[in-house]
Amino acid sequence: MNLSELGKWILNFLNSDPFLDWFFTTLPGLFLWLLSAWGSKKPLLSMPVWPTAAYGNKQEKMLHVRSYLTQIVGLLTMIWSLLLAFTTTNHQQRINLYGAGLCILLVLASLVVIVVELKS
Amino acid sequence: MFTDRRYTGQREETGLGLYDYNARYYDPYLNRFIQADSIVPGAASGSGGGAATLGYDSNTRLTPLTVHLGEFVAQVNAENREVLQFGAFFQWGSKTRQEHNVPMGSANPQALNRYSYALNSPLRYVDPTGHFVALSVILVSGAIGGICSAGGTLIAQIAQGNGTLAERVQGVDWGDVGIAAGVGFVAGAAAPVVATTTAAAALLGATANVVQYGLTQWSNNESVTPGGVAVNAAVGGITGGFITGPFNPQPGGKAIMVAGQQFTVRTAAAENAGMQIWYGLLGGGELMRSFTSGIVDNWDWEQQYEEIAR
Repeated sequence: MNLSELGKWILNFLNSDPFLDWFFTTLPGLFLWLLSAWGSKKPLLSMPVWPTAAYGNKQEKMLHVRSYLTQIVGLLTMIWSLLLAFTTTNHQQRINLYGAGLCILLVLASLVVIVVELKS
Repeated sequence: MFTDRRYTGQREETGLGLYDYNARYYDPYLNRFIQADSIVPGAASGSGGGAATLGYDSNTRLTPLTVHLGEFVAQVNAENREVLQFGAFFQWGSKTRQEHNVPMGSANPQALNRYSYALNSPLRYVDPTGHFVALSVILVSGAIGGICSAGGTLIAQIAQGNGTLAERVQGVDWGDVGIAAGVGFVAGAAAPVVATTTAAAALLGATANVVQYGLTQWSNNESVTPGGVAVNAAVGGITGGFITGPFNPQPGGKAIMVAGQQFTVRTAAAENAGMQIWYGLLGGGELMRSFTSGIVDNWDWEQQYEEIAR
């Protein structure tokens, strides 16, 4: 395989359905993960203030619960789209299964949020 | 005592009679820290924007700390003059901030009090429900919502498209993306005001998604079906309720008030951290709302069924 053939192969690969489908279905997961991870680190507070600030009131606590859950959903979305890229055979099937997985993930995560919110 | 940890978890230096708050020591008999806080709050703290702390805001030049009475009075007078001339700190443009020293730097003791950030004039300037704060929060969250919603729709369309990347991009319906941006902006802007509970956030997401679905169908000359409305309401409700969630303008604020006056200087940092998480979640919610409904709307149920049956 010479260089131009390699270039063609790379171009074909980048434009192939599995790659494009994987890339654009994993992208929202990546964004979701980054956006929810953004700022969920501890603020620069001295130690006794942090837990008080974070868990002293319920809405503040729920912010963190949502943030962590959303990060998990984002990561699972990425894993799911990667799995589909290897296991499915056509574009439409991939998108459909991806959508189904996404919906199941979102429903499960929202159930967890409801349970935590009602129990805390 | 079985432990040297005090009420909120700080360690007591029994020999010294001081509490170790990590950054500095606190003297329980004086009811004061024995050192100054290394984080110097600016007047903008608590306004929802970044606290104008040292090293954080490059536009901020804090008035140097002074212990000389005459110098201090001169600084306060200068600050008062500037406030009369230009208004409170948070009303200044960045140019004015650069040209003048910040009126409420560390030299002004009022700035160290969380509740006097508007020169101790809360009736005149700002509280968390105040005009200026609400406006800035609304614009920022609206912008985040609009961008993320448009991004979600765009990615969904490219992911669903057929052929090479160029063909997929050519097939993008930019009208739909524009509608998503508009609806996302309105939903994002409404969120701090409307979505104060999980149920309200879910309702807002559902409404936004149904409106987006209706506008998209209308712009593409397609009919609005009950099934489509139901699916979009469900997706919007779930993403709105689960990810975006309720907005609290002062996360942590109350807790710190209970913990004691000595923490008040740091409240702005906690508040900003809470705001940041919420903004991130709002963006994530809007992104997933648009993206998921974009994916689900074009679900080809029959083909899927046939493929599974085959």
